Parts: sequence; C-alpha cells; structure tokens
Amino acid sequence: MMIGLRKSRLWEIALLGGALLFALFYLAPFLTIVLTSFKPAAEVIASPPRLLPSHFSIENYLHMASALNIGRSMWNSLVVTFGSTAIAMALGSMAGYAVARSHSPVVRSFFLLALLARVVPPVTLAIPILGMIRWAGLIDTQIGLILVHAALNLPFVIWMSSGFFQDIPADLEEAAIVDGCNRFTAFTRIILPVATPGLAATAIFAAMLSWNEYLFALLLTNVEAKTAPVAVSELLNVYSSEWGAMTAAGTLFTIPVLILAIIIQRRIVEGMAMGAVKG
Amino acid sequence: MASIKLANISKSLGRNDILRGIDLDIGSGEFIVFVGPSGCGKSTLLRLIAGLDEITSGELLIDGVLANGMSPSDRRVAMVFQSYALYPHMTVRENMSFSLKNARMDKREIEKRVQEAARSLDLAGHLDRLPKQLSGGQRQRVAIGRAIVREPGLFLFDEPLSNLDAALRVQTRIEIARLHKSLKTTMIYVTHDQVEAMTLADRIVVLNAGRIEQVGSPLDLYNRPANLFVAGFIGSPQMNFISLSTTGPGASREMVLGIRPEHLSISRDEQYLASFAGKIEFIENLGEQVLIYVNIGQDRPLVAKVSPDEDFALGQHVALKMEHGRAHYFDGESGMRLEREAGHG
Repeated sequence: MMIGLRKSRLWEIALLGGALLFALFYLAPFLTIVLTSFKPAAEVIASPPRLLPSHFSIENYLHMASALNIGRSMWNSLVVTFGSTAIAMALGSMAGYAVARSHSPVVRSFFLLALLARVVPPVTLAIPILGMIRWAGLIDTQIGLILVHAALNLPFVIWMSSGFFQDIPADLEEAAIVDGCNRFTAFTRIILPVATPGLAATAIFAAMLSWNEYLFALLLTNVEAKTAPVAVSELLNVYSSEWGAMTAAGTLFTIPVLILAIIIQRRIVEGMAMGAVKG
Repeated sequence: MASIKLANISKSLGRNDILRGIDLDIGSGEFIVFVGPSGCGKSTLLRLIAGLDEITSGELLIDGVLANGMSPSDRRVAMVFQSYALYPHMTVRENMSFSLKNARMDKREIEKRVQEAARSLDLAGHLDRLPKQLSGGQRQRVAIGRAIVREPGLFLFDEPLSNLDAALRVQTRIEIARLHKSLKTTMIYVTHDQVEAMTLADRIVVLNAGRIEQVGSPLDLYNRPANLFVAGFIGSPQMNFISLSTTGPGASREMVLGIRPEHLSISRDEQYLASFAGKIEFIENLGEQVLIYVNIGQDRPLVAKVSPDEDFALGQHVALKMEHGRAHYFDGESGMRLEREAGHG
C-alpha cells in the first residue's frame, strides 16, 4: 500500500516536471523578450548572450518611448481590435447560428464560401482590399482597418460559433417560440446567453487575430491609424536594428492581451469544454 | 380549453411525405394520446399543432378558427418537451414566468401564478435554483409548471417521461393524469409507450407511416383493433397471429387469426380440447406472470401468458386453448378486421 502510494507520488512529480519543461519550451521566446527588455542597452546584443540582465534597467523602454509614439499606436490597436471584434462577433454569431440550424444547401455553400476567404493566402486579398479601402477614402483611418479586420475575422467567428450553437438543443429556442418569442428574440434572449462561454472564447481568438495582424495594418495605415505591430516593426530598418527598444515594445504590446486572457481564461476553458459533456 | 380539428393535414419534407391525409377531431377537455412506432409522424403532428412546423396542406382549426398561419403563442398552446428544454441560465422562477413576461402580464399576477404552480408541483422551495441544481424529476415538474402558468387552451406533451427512470415515470404519469383531472384542459400527449397511452388517454390515435390507423378509447383498441397493425401494436406481449385459409363454394380466402397471449391457456394434456398443440421452446419468467413460447410449426412461436404457479418445462409437449370469444379475424390481403367472423369482438 505504502509502496503504491510512493510510486503514484513519484509519477505525479515526474508528470509535473515534464509539464513544466514543456511550458518552459513554449514560454522561452516570450521570457527572452521580457528579460532582454530589462537589460542595459549594451547587454542586448552581447555575445555570448546572457540569459539574465546584470542589473534591471528601463533604458530600452525610455529609448522606445522616444523613438515611437507607442501610446498612439497602442490606442489605435485597442480601438481597431475592439471595433473589429465587436462587428465580427455581432455578424458572425448570427451567421454561425443560421449555419448551425439550417439544412439548406444554399446556406451550407455560403458557409464554405466564407471559409474559402480564410483559406486563401491573405496577400492575395491585399490588392483588392487596398483598392476598396482607397476607393472608400478610408486609407489610414481606424474605421478602414476595423472593417478589414472584421471581414477577415468573420469566417473564423462563423465557423467557431456555429460549432457552439450546434451543441445547444433546438428544443430551447422552440420552447422560447412557444413561450411568445420570435426567432430573433429567441436567439438574443435564450441562445446567446447559453452560448456565452463559447462566444467569449471565440471573441478572445478574434481579438488576438486583430491585435497581432500586421500585413493589412501595414498596407492600410500610415501615420494616423498606425497600429502597434506596424510601429514596432519600424524599429527595424535598413539603417539600424533597435533590438532593445523592440523587446520593450513587444513586452508592452503583450500586456493587454495577457490581461484579457487571464480575465477570461475560465470562460475560454468552459467554451472549449462545451459539447464535451451532455448538459 | 380548446377544441381542435385537423382536416386532411399533410406534411412533406422535400419528396418525403411525413404525414398524409390526417383527419381528426379533438373535443374540448379531451386527453388524446398519439402512439406509433419511431418515424410514424406522431411528433411531427404535434409540432404542426404547436406551430413549430408548417403544414404542407390541409387545415388546422383551433376553436373553429383557422390556425395554419398563426404563431405558436397566438394558438394559446403550451408544450412540454422530451428534453424539458428549461432555459439553463434562468432560475426556476424565471423559467416559469418567461412566457408571462413576454405577454407583458402584470408582475403581481405573474408572481401569483408562479407561486400557485410551484405549490401544486411541490417546487416552492426551489424557485431560486437553476435547472442544473435540480433532479430529473424536479426539472420535469418545472417544465410542466412553465406550461401551467400560461393557463393555455391546449397542452402538448412530447414524450415527456422518456428521460425519467421507471419509478419516477409512474409517479409523473399519475401527476399528469391528476393535472388533467383538475385543469380539464385539452391535452395531446405523444408517446411510444403503450402503458402511458392506455392509462392516460380518453382516446388513443395510432399512427403508422404518416397515416392514422385507428382512433378510439384504450379498451376499443385493445378489444376491437381495426387492422393487423393496431392489433400487433397495442398489447404486450404482442398479439399472436396465425394464417388461415378458408374455402367456400367456388372461392378460397386467406385470413389471419389473432389471439392475445393472455387469452390462451395451456394444458399438459395433449388430448385436452385444444386449439393448437406444440412444444415449449422458450420460457420467460416475469415474476407476476410467465410467458411460454410454444412452437406449433409456424414461423413464429405462439406466446401464452400464464400464472407463475403453473409448472412447465422447456421441450414439453403442450396443448393451447384459446378463448374463442376473444379471437380476432383479419383479412389476409388488406389486413383489415373482419367483423362477421369475430365471435365476441
């Protein structure tokens, strides 16, 4: 009995050790960036590289702040992420619900067509999108980038949310319809609240896609609506490579998503587990 | 209390005919049960009456008013679903008051109705709980309570007991019967369980392959099944069928004799004035009764229901005697009941 207990204890420790190693492997690039951002400028590109800074310094952050208008680009990133996620979620969840409930071949084809937009390399969409945004007079505006990010995120939101809606029994909305709702109010008052964990997870992923998006932000913005990824990339140019400032900007840039993920982490897990067990 | 008239109702999905030519009158305050095998269209018919599916052709009249295009809420129906369909994010109180809030009813009246329903269903202490905090039986009672508070003209039940365990099913069945007695509201109940159908119904509607096979009181269906399908569907174990040929002047006729297992008696004495004789090939002891399967040289053995006091053994040769007054005769081709030949029935 004693030996059995000790064995299982050892097994647990080994598992935990393995999991820690695995986590470290994934976290290594991020930890390197964070640690490097606090190194004195001279140590950033020291050879051989040092893992830990000799002393903590905010030199890179001060340099980054003088080189970039990071406040403005972070604000642009926040506005674009929030705006595009809100639009993609509002439209995508309704479309996802329609896809989940419809047996019509037309709707199914629309769904596949929407997914196709996600399958083609974004760069092939770049020229037509650039043309459309220019035609609409929305170059270098937050709204232009919001619309593009929303459109790019829509297929993902439709696909992911339709999976969550499929797990909700149709009886629920039928009960609501018998109780006096119409299709739309049954959706907003019954189905949406029930699907909240799944939709929260979808929203997080959509927000991260927009927050990290680089190609279209680079093409469609210039000064006014420049987002953080584009601003950070400007530290790397043909004349110089500001590694220290880049790690500082990268660290700062991660904070909002990190906070969001920590706050909604439980919701994400709930969302991922939806449908795994019959409720 | 609502009266319902279905006139030549059909429902098709693409090229599939789900229901064909359904004619049915349901009187005010009646308890009607739809039974039939899986896929016979009984739930679809209920959904057409509820307004959850569109009628392809035919007329549905509720209290004499054409209701084909009416929304479910305008039909004044309340429905209890097989899965209960309780709103998981709402408390019991919110679940029960949801439809009344939609109808913009006065808050005090809502609370009064919810309290009354909760008291009658023994849910008063659970009003602030979420559905996931309740047992299966309690959830079913909330689903019934949600229907009661609306004071509908018509209750629709879609296999409401099939998710409950056997003991709870009996208890809830009795509660539903009591509910009908006290409310006297028209109720339509879908089930594939014939015990529920026989015990609850004023009249049973037997459906098969999208058509009504027979409408009648439970005893009517048991004593005078209209055709082979109903004869085989109502009663457990199933009625025994024996093919017969009768020859008359210039013509012969194929017939089927039907006799229920409870109307066959068995004797070990093969010289007994037997209807049939054969060898016991299987015995099922159900406790309060024993089912004896006797091979009489047909495709399927005859089943007789006997008392557990009688002692029989596998392989034993026995004689079977039927109560002639209880025999049913059907046309071999059409499967329809033949009245003339049926002595008693």
